[in-house]
Amino acid sequence: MKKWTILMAVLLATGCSTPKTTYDWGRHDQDLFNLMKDPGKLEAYGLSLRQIIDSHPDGKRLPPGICAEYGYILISAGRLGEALPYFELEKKFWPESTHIMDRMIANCHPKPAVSTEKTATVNALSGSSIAQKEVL
Amino acid sequence: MRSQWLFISSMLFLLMLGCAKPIVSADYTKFRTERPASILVVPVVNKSVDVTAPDYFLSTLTFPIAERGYYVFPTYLVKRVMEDDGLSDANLVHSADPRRLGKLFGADAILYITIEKWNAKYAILATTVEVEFHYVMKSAKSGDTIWKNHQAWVYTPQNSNTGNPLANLIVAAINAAATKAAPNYMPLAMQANINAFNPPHRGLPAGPHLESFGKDQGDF
Repeated sequence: MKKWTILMAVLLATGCSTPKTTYDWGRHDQDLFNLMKDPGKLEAYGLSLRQIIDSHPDGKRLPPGICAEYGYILISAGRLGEALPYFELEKKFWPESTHIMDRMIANCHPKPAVSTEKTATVNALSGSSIAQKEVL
Repeated sequence: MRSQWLFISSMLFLLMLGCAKPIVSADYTKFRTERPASILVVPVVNKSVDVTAPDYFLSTLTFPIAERGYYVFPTYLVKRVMEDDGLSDANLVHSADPRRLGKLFGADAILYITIEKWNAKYAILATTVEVEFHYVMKSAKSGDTIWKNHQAWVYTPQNSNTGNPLANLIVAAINAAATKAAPNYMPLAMQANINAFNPPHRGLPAGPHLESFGKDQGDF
């Protein structure tokens, strides 16, 4: 009887040891799900992203998109200046993001002439039947 | 005695033969030529009646694809940017040219997912949760389909057998009530994703951020 208990405990422990992931996701999936469920959970999502970023200053084990996502939340809150370094970080750790990050970085700078920029964006997208509006 | 051993060993041999089915691998020719590094997951087309399904499902996708070694464009940013670009309608996005979508984000490949099923069947004793997805990846360079997968999963809560028929009935009723209150699709959706992206010969070959990148031709 005792043997069985020990065996079951060992099996249970083996079953519980989750395989190691390449990146440290923290509570990312759960908090993203909560945000999808309730748009009011944006701040909680932001905090969770910030936690992951702060615990990996070297960028190793930092999942793709985390810095960009955090930067975008700062932009949404109107904190343009604070957002910029996070877009730069995303670019540094993930060169694949360069194109979209450059677009985001452009949004971080105050816009002196909104009308001309809008025209430029529309021109850049011309030929596309589905994308006509200015980003952000 | 000896013939008995012979019999057992020959049976074991036959069993092993039976297990080693010839593996029919999916065609990875186009995928290998493209070698995508970055993947854009666009809004999910929903054929179920549950309006929350696409956004909920979207939250499960970054993790398994990134863990396969790919850059995945961030979910919330993509969702908002696409909305602002007038690209929130999933059907419209799925019918759009992948090359133009790719250019917007600088993505190598686009992942299109259709939810075929996302439902709970309420029975008296146990509620069954069911999900079904089609995954299609297209190149943002050529517009060609470079990978696809299909997953269908059904979950019925396990009714613990207490040995007492009446107690069993009560356990089943409790299970059904719990599932009815909030049918939990998420574990099933995650299970489907893992089975879509991970297994050899059907999943995604290791991406550039995995050590096995370019060394797994035998598996894919």
